[in-house]
Amino acid sequence: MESSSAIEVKALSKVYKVKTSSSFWKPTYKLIEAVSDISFTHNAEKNLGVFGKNGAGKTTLIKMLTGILHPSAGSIRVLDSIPQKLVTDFKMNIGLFQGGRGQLIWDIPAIDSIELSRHIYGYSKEEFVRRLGIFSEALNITNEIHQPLRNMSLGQRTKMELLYSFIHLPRIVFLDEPTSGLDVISRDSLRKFINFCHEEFGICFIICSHNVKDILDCCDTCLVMHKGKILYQGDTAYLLEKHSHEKVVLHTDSHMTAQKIASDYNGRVAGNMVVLDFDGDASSPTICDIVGKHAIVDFKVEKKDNEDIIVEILSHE
Amino acid sequence: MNNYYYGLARQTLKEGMAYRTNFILSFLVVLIPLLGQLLLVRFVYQNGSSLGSWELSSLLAYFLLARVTSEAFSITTWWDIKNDIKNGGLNNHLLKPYRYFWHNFTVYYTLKSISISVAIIITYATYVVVRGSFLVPIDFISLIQFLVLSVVAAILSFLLIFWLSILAFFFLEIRFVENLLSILLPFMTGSILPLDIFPGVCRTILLSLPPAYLVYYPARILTRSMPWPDFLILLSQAVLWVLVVWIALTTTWRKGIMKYEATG
Repeated sequence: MESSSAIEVKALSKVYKVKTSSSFWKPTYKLIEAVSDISFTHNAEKNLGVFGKNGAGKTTLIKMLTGILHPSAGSIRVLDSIPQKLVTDFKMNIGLFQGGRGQLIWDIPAIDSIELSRHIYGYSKEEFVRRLGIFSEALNITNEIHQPLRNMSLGQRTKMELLYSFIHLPRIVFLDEPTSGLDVISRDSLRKFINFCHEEFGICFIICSHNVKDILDCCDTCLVMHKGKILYQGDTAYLLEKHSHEKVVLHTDSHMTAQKIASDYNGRVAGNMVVLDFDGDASSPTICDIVGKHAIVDFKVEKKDNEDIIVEILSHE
Repeated sequence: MNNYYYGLARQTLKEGMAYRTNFILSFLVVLIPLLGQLLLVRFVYQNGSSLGSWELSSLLAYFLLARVTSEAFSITTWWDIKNDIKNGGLNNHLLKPYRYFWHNFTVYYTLKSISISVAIIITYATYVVVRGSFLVPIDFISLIQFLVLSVVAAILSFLLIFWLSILAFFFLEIRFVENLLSILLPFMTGSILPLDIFPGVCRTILLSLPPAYLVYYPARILTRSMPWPDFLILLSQAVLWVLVVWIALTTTWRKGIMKYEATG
């Protein structure tokens, strides 16, 4: 029976045995639970982003979803296969890109190693040329593709590796830190490329990144992980809305006024200024109230940046 | 999928030839030890001594041929597999629809084909220079026997290399074992001296272990062909070792992949 979700995870855990002393005769070990009893499903129509601090279990989860790491407990189904069996049909339909980990041959022109993809996945030379044209144009690497990898910048190499990871047009691509080490411009062009491939070829991306913007720009749905557990799974927009707040900066006529407002409305004082935080859009009635009662010289309403919201969610955990 | 291995071999060959200086210097790597061995043997025989039952001309021929078989089938450290396991490079290979074993086999023997070609060129050139003093007595039968045994030796050699490399699943640091093997293996394969000159039990043990089938027996057969029944026994022993190492390798792989931590 075909399952409706592309990814189904039930009660999944992964425990690592880590050496804690290097004693030759009596080494000691401790068990670290990287992923702890998590369950979720995901439909391949949307990209999925995985947020989390270092050690949250994001990469371990990705590795188990691809089948290269065996879980300690629980079950996984990806595209109706058990990933750990690594059957050919499953391999034909997935791609993996790990930032900073190269697959292409260093000393020969990138195009030569990328062409191996058509031999591995069995598609024609014409189709390879067509896909290469589309991908290299979208990534703006049409000329660089003929150079050996060793002559390229980190950004160009990353683009080549990314292209190689899914020029075979798999159904799901796992991206682990895709923009690691790249400058702002390269990061932006990679995000655009990911969105282009999602829309044009229907590839579902599962993105795990410390760069919050990667996920905000590319993923409609997300998982928030903390210490191996899932704190949130659902729409990225809803998560942002739920945690969005406004910051109001009021300039008062004196320090005393600022202190009075701060104590009445639980704000922070800085000279003649007072800063108030509000959840959602609740600031308007309060500002009207304050302006009516106190001498306010000027005020400014600032909406919290989406990246800051995610950083705040993660740092509160 | 066969196209993949062909394509991979082509790319690997390009990569192997990318550094010209390295390629040119590889000639010296073959030539220097070969000249050393030949000069040493001549010196020993000129002073009236001998090595076992070997005549000077046969021994010189053995060293020439052992240089080629040693280049082709000796057990060398194959960093690719160990690094893949230790640093997580295996992740991407596991997710590609090809066999990791055959992928490495293709890369290994493609790169080897360059060094084997160099070894053949150097050996032949040396033979042309010194052939006034001896002739390599190659006949048609010994050539057939050599080719058949070479196929088995190539497989056995790579199985051993692959098996030793995947021990990295269990032991992150096996440099001591590698260093020990790099000292012992040239003796055990017959690259330094023909194995039949060793005394008693030592000879029996060395002749029955897998390394003997990689260098000694192929080179020995080319210098002196075997009767077919003896050859078939030798061949079946080599095939038996292939099976034993294959079983050890598949068991190690199955257990190792469960322990694999996919670092990175």
